[in-house]
Amino acid sequence: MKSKDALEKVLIVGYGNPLRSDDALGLIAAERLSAIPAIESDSSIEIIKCHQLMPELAEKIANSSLVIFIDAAAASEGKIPGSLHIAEIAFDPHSSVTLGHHCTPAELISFSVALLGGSPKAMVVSLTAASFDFGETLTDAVQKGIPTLIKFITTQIGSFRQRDCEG
Amino acid sequence: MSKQIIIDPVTRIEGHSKITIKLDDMGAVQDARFHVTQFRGFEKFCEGRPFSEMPSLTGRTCGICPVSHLMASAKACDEILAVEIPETAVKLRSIMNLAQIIQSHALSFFHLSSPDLLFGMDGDPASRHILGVVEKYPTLAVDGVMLRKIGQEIIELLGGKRIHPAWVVPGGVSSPLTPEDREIILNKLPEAKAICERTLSWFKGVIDQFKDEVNTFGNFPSLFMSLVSPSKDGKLAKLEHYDGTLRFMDADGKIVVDGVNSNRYMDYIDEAVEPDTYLKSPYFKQLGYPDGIYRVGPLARLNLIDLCGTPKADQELSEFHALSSGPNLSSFQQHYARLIEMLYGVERIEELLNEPDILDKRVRAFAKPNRSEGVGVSEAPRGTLMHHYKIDDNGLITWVNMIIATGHNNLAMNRSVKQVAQHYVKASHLQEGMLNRVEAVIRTFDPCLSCSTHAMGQMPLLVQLLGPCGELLDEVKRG
Repeated sequence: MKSKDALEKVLIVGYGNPLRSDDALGLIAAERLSAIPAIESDSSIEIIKCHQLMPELAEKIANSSLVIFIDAAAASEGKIPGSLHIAEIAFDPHSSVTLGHHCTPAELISFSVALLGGSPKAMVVSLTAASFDFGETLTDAVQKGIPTLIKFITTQIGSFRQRDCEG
Repeated sequence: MSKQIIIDPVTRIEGHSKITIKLDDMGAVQDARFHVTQFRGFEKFCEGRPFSEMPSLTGRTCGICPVSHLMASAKACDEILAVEIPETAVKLRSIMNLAQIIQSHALSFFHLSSPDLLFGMDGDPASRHILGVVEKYPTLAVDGVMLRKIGQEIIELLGGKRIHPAWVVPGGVSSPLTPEDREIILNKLPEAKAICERTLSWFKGVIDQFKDEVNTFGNFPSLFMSLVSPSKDGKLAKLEHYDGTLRFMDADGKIVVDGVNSNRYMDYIDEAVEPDTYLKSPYFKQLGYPDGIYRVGPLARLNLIDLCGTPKADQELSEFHALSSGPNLSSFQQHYARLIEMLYGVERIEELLNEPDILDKRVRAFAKPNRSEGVGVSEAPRGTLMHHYKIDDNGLITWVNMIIATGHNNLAMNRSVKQVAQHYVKASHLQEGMLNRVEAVIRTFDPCLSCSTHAMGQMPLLVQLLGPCGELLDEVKRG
């Protein structure tokens, strides 16, 4: 069984604009995850809160085995505000990324793997937003969805750790 | 029949824009326009806010260059307070400003422009992007990430966060530099300097491959403007990003206007509005609109000075100045100028960190408003940035004018697009390389459109060829 020192790294990136209502989801969820004792005490889990994804995250991504991005998703047909969505990200060597002033999680993963190697399991965990208007609070719908999101992420980390320890 | 080609949006720049190319009956380019399709309204919705909020508010104009707005805004607020901020605060603000310039120039050069420089303007689009750079030129790709990271980390160490740091405030900065953080920053600089030097060496080795682009990418006579400051003996003009006075130079190298205090900018600059773009067109008043076209940014700054003031950057500047007998008129050379500025930034940060008072705890002057108006001007990565505020007796904003670097360059970007289109676009059919060059010339200015329209949007990329009656003749979609 691996010791804690040898545990593979988990990177959680919560991002968004705190002045655009539900876009603050990533930041708030990251904050709440940081406060969970089991996560807080695990030095192999790093939680980053940021305004937007930037190329320099590539280094941390390359050094991680599990990468979870948390963001609010734009509403689209059939998606209920506050509903949870998971999108796994795979490295795409043919991705025509720009990595300029805006990066998507997929672009960042592709860039990171191409540049620095590694093969992290990566996913975007999101809640459908109800509003991106100017505002400093989450809507009720997204607020209600956060416990489900947190539970999903902690379960993912738990499963990952179990495989890690068995491996 | 006349035709019109539209490139919408322009890729690998910040923000969203459209380029329209109009062809005459013979298929030759008659005109080309650069339209900015965003609107934000900062100048209006800041009215009624306490002036002291302006650095935080205007810093949110942009997530790319928030530090630049913090600088100009805080300086405008300093004027309203009528304070002289502590010298240590000037130095700390300068360090943050230079770190911003380093990270922004790194993004522009390595991520947005290097694919064209490495693979050529006609390179296969399938690899002419950052992953292509990673595959074929991994050292360059890593260097770009690391240099930008260093710039961002310096900003974060000083201001507490990388984007929208609230540390720059009216009267100075909110906290002094600690000895520990000073040491951390100093330890990052050797790597940054090495990256700048090897990138400059590489660029100088390949620039000859772009003779055509050097000659046709925004290569035309214009005025140039920037802040400058005097050298130690007072006889020469030195590179300046934080303080100094405004200077204008013409295309022959003659200094047209010099020593202008920031708060007199409106004596020399006015703004025109065009119906097809949200980006205003500042112009030099004495020459009128549109003849009063001028350029700002790295190329302008290096044209306007005699020295940078740091040893390695000065060596590079000598080589740069030797390229032309007067000011360098080619916008393509903005890439070269950015590299020299990054090197200067690293050297100057090191100098400032070794100043004896850099750890002084007196970093803020406190006062209530003593003036009803204030102007703050600084040099952002893309050029001169101006914030001008008026307040009422309660300290609430009644009027705001912001002239952004990219705005200053609007006329020049339009002229450049037309020049490139006339040289490269042969409209019998739409070719990737021709259209890429039209976009690439805009990229030499590294425009920040979210700032300069005081916006954002997601538009699908569509190039349309329209007939004189607006009928669709041809269409190319990207993404």
